[in-house]
Amino acid sequence: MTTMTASTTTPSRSNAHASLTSRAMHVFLFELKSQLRPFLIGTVTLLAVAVLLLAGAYPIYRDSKSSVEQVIDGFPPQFAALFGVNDDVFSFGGFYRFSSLYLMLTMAIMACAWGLAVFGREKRAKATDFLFVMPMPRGAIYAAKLAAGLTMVVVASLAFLAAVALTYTRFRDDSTATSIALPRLILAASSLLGVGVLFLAFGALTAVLLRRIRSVSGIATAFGVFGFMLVSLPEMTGEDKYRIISPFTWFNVSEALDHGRYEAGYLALAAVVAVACLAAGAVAYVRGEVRAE
Amino acid sequence: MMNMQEKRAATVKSVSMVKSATVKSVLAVAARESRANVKPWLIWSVVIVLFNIAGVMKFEGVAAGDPDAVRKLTDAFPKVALAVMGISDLDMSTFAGYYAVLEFYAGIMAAVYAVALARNAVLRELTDGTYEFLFVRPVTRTAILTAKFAAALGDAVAFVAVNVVSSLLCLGLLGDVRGLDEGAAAIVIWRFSVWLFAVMLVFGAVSACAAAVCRRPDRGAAAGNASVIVAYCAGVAYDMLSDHDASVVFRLLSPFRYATPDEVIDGRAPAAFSVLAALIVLVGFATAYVAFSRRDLASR
Repeated sequence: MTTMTASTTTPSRSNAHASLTSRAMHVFLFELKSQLRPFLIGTVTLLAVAVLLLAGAYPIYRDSKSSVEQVIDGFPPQFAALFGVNDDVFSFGGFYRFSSLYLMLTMAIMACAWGLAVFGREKRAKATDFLFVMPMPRGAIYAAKLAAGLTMVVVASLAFLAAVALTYTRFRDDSTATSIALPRLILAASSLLGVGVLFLAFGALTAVLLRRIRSVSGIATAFGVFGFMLVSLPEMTGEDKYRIISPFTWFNVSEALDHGRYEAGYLALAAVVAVACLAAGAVAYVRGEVRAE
Repeated sequence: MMNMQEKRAATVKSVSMVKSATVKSVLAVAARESRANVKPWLIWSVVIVLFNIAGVMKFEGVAAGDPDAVRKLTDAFPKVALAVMGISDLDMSTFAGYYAVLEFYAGIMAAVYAVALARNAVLRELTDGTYEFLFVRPVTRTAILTAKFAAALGDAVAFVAVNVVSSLLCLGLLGDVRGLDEGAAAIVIWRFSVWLFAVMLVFGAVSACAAAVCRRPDRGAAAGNASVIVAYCAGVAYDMLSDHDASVVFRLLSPFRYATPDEVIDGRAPAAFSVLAALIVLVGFATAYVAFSRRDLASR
C-alpha cells in the first residue's frame, strides 16, 4: 500500500517540480526582458563615464606629473605621503583610485534602480494579485527576480571590467601609467561588483517594504547620493570609525591597488549587510499582505 | 422682480462664496500636500543635521594641520589634479574653504530633494491614480498647482533653515580653534544657505518642468533626477578644466557652479549666471503651469 502511494506520487511531484522550475524561469526571463532598456541605458552610461574619465581625463592628469613633482620636492617626504602623493599617484591605477568614487556612484544608482524596478514592478503596476495567483510559492518568485537582478549587476560589472582593461592597454607602453599592474587594477575595479550587489539589495528591500513606489529613479538617486555623501565623512574628518556607515568605503580601492587585497572585515560586513537585506526582503515578500489598491 | 441693487448684491455674494470655496480648496490641497511631505522632510533634515554635526565639528582636527604648507601645496597643484582628488582650489585650512566643500555635498543633496519635491507636487496624484479626486475640486488646475508648489516651497525653506541652524549650532559648539573668526564664519554659513536655496529653486524648476511636460510620469521623474547627475558631473568637469576657456560650457550645464564656492564665500555671484538661474526658474515653472493645465488625464 505504502509503496503504491509512493510510486504514484513521485512522478506528479517531479512534474510539479519541473513546472515550478519552468515558471521560475519564466519570471526570470520576463524580468530580464522588461529591464532590458533600463539595463542597456545604465550599462552604456557606466561605460561612457568610465571611458570618458579613464581615457579622456587621465592623459591630462598624467601630464601634470612634472609640475606636481617640482612642488613636492620642496616638501619633506612625510608631508607628501600625508597628501597621498607617492610614485603610483600618476599611474593609471592611481587615477582609478580617484575616479572610483564617481564610478561607484553610477553603479550604485543603477543597481538600486534595477532592484527597485524588478521587485516593485507589480506594486507599481498594481498587479501584485495577478503575480501571486501563479501556482508557485512567493519565495520562488522572489528568487527568480533576485536571479534576474544579480544577472544584470554581474553582466554590467563584467562589461565594465572589460572596458577598464581595454583602456589600460592603450597606455601599455607608458611606464608612468603602468606602475600599478593590470591584475591589481582589475581587482580594484571589481569593487563595482560589490557595490552593485549591495545597492541591488538596498533597492530590493526598499521596494518590498515601501507601500508605494512613486519614482524608481528618485529613490535610486537618493540612495546613490547618500552613499556618495557618506564617503566624505571619513575622508574629510579622517576618522575611520565613520567607515562603518559608509558603504562605498567598505570596498577599499586603495588597499586593492597597493596590496592586492581587500580588508576582510569590511568585505564581511558588506556581505552580511547584503545578505541581511535580501533575506529581510524575502521574508517581507513572502509574508507581506497584498493590498487592494 | 429684483431691482438692480438686489441683483448686484446677490452676484457679489455668490462670487464671494465661490471665492471663499476656492480659497478653502486651495488651502486644503496645500495642507494635505504639506502633511504628505512631512516624513521625507524629516528624513532629509535628520541626514543634513548628522552630516553637519560630523562635518563641522571635525573642523577642529583639520585646522590643527599646518595651514601654510597646505595652502602652498594646493596652489602648486594643477587644477585637474586637485579636482580629481576632490579638493578643488579651496583653502581647506580656513573655515570658509572647509565649509564650502561640505556644502557642495549638501548642495547635491538639496538638489535631489528639490527634484523630489517638485516632482511630487506635479505628479503625486497621477502616479497614485487618484487624480480624479483632485481635479473634481471646484478650482482651476493653476490654483491646485500653486497650492502644491507653495507647500513644496515651504519644505524647501524649512530644509534650508535646518541646515543653517544646525551649522550655526555646530559652529557655536566648536571649541577654540586657532584663527577662527566666528562672526565671519556665521556670515559664510548664511551665504551658503542662500546659495543652497537658489540651487533648490533651479532644480525644482527643472524637475517641475520635466514632470509636467513628459507624458509618462516615470520618464519625467527620471529626467529630473538625471539633471542633478549631469549637473554634478559637469561641475566636476568644470573644476578640472577651469583654466581652459571651454570650461564655460560645463559651467552652463552645472547650476552648482553658477556661483563658484569662492564667489559664494565672498558673497557675490556673476551677473550673467544669476540671470540665467532666474531665467531657468521662471521658464521652468511657467512651462510647468502651462503643461499642467493642458495635460491629458488619460487613465493608465
